[in-house]
Amino acid sequence: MTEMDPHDEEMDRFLLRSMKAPVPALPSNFDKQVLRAVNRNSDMVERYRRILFIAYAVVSAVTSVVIMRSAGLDWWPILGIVAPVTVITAALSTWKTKRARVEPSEA
Amino acid sequence: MDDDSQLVARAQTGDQKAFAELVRRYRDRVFRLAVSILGKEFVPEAEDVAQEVFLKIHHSLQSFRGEAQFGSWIYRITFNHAVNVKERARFRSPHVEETALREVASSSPGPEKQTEAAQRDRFLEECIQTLPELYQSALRQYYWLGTGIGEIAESLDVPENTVKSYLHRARKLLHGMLKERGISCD
Repeated sequence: MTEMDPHDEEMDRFLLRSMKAPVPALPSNFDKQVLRAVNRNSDMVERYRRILFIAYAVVSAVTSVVIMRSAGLDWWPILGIVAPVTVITAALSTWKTKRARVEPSEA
Repeated sequence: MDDDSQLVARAQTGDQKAFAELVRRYRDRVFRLAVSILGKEFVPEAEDVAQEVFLKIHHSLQSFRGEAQFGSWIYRITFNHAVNVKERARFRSPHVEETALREVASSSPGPEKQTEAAQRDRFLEECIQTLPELYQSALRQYYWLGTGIGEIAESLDVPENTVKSYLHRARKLLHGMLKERGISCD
């Protein structure tokens, strides 16, 4: 510390004496609590993301079908366009979810 | 052992172990900083602050670009969050009632001295509460938690000399306030 004047020194001693109190500590399972809360949060975010993605996909597919039908396209070509896109998207989404579930346990 | 930036990079890719290691490294320092801002009466709130800080960190880890040190980042988040919590907690700020002081006085030897000391400590705490947040934190970390100047400087993101000057100014202000109330520092 820098050089103290008498008042400062007196106050320093007073504070050391008066502010002395047991030092609190975090519970020993604090880390586990944090990690549990983090996982809970991540699961919720993931669930919302999935719901949002599925809703977006459904709306897009329906809109596409409506537009193609109004353009005079028959059902079979529409199915030929929409079905592969839907299957690929669903497969990608499932694969991503599975990978996300496996990764934390591997780490 | 990995340094912080390596751990952060791993945690950003979803590595839970790296994040757990960051929590282990910073848990006590984050808690000490939070409790130094909130004060002795709000230890459970400081625990909550520490937990919420790590949740925030986990949530915004992707946006951390490493321009600042990870430590400075987490301390800044802790400081701001603790100050916000303190603002809310102030409305239900617990204080020592006169009856409690009387109980202390009647239950142990030297009742007058005990009451006097309890009253003086209460006044001191009230005076500390009126100081700027940075002074309060530096004071509590130094005099209550026994933290070194270097670590206080790191947690408040200021040079060591600034911490010394915070402490000096805080002592000066407190001395004036206590003198005004007729409380002796002997």
